[in-house]
Amino acid sequence: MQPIALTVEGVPVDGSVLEDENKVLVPLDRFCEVVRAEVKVLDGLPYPAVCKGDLCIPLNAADVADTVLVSGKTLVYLDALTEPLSLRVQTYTDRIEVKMVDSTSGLGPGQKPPVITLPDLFTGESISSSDYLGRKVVFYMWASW
Amino acid sequence: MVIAQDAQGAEVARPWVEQAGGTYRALIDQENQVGKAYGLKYVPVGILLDETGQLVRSVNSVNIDNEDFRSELERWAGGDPVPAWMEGSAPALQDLTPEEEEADARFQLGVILLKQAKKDEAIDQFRAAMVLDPENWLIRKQLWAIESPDAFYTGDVDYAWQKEQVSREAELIGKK
Repeated sequence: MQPIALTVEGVPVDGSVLEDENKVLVPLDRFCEVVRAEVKVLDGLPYPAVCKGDLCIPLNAADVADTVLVSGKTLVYLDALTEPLSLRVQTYTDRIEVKMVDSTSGLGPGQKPPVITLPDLFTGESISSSDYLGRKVVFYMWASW
Repeated sequence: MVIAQDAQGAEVARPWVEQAGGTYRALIDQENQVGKAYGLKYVPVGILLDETGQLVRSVNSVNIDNEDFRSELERWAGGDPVPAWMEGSAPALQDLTPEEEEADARFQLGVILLKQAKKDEAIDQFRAAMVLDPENWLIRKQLWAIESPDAFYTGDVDYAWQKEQVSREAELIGKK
C-alpha cells in the first residue's frame, strides 16, 4: 500500500493510497466531503452508505468489501463509487484525477450521448453507434457544401 | 467513420468520399438527425466514444487536418490514456426552442420536396427555416448550396460570396 496524489476537480484528497493490483482507496469522510456526498448510517444496516441527492450507495453490501480500516480510518475503494456517483477517473503515473460528471448537462466527457442510427452512404445498410460497443469509435460530421 | 450532413442526399455526398479514397465507413444524415438530437448547428464536428459508449471529448468542432490532433487521436485509438484534448465547451442537451422546432419541421419538409424534385418549393421551406433559426449553419449553408451551387461545387468554396450572402440575408432575418 503506497500513498498516491489524488484530486477531485483539482481539490486534493489527502490520505489516498494505491493498493496492490492498482486498486485505489480513498478516505471515506474526506472524499465524500469533496464530492459533496454524505456518509449516512441507514436503519438496520451495519455499514454506512454514501448518499448524494436521492441516491444512496450502501457499502459492503452483497458480501463485497468496499471499505478497509487503516489505523482507525475508514478507506473506501474508489471503484465502488465511480459509477454510482458518475465520476470520471483519469490515472497518470504519478497522480489520479477525478472529475465529477453532471449527468444532465449534455455532451461532455464521460457522458453517453444519444444513439446515432443512420444509413450507410453506399449500401444504405442501417448502422448504429450502439453496434460499436466494445470498440472505440470516432464519428466525423462533415458536409460537401 | 464519417457522417455526411447532406439534405441533397447520398448521390451528392458519395463522390467526395470516393475521391478521398476513404477506407472508413461513411454514413449519410439527410434529415439532420444528429444535428437535431445533439443540438449542433455546424460542421465539422467530432464525436469520440470509448468502448463503453461514453464520450472522451466534448462534442465539438474538430480540425482533422491538424497533425497534433490526428496523432493524439491515433495514440488514443492505439490504447494510450485519453489525452488532454483541446476542446471547447460541451453543448447542452436541451429541448428545441419553438423557433428551432419550426425550423426543423420546415427543413424536413424541404428535404421531402427535394426528393420529389420540387426544388423551388424546397428552397422556400429552407429559407423559412433559415429565418427562424439563422445561427443554424447546417440549415443555412445547405440552403445556399442548393440555391447557389456555383458558390460551393465549382472550384474552391467561395467565402467572399458567403460573406456577402450573410449581409444580403440580414434584412430578411431582421424582418421575421
